[in-house]
Amino acid sequence: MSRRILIIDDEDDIRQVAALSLETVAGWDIIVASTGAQGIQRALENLPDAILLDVMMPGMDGPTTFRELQKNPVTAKIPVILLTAKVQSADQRRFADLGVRAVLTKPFDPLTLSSQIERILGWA
Amino acid sequence: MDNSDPTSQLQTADSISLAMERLWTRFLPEITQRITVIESAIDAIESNHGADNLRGQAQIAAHKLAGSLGTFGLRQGTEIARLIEQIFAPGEDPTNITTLREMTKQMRSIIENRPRNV
Repeated sequence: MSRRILIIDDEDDIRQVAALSLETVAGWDIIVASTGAQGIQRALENLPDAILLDVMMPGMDGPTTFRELQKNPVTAKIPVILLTAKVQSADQRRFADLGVRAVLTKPFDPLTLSSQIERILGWA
Repeated sequence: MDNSDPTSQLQTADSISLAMERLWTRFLPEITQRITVIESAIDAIESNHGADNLRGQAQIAAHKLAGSLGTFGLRQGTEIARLIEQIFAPGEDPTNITTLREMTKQMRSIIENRPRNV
C-alpha cells in the first residue's frame, strides 16, 4: 500500500537521503519541507499519512512545529515521528514526552528507514 | 512495491547504493565545510579571538555531521562528531585543544577516505 510521507528537515542532505530511501525501498509518495512553517503548510495541503520531523531547525524548531500541528484538528491526527541526532537519554525522554508517536535517532540506515516507520505506525 | 524476494531486495539495495554515491558527491562540499567551521572554532579558541560565536557554529556543525555521516556509512565519523558536539556545548570548556584538533583531523580523514560503493 502506498503511503504519503512529509519530511520536514532544514538539512538538504537529510531530506534527499530520507526521500530516496522511502521512495526507493517502500515506494511511498514523499513531500518535503525545509522549515517548520513550510512543513505545516504542506501538511495542510497534502494531508500526509505521517510526518518525519527534525528536532533541531532554525526558527521554528521541531517541538514547536509539532505543537502547532497539534493545535489544528486537521493536522493533529497525523502521526509525527521526530528525527534527532541527540542520543542522550534525557533529550530522548524530553522529545518523547511531547506526545509524538516516536523518536528516531540520526543517522538512519536508508535501507531500513521505511521498515522502522512501518513498525512504529503499525503499517507492517 | 514488492521487495519480498531476494533479487528484488538486491536490486533495491544497489539502487540505493548508487543514488547514495551521487548524493555523497553532491553534498561533500557542504560536509567538508562543516569540518572547516569546527577547525576555525578551534583556531579561535587557541588564539582567544572571537571564540564564542564560532563555538556555537562549531557545535551546530558537529551536530549536523553526527546526524549525517553514519547515513553515508561513516559510523566512526558520527561518533567523533558527537564527542566534538559535546565539547562545544555551552558550559563545557574545550581546553584540550590538541585532542580536539586530532579528533577533527581524524574526522576529516574519514570523510576524505570514504570508500566508494560503486
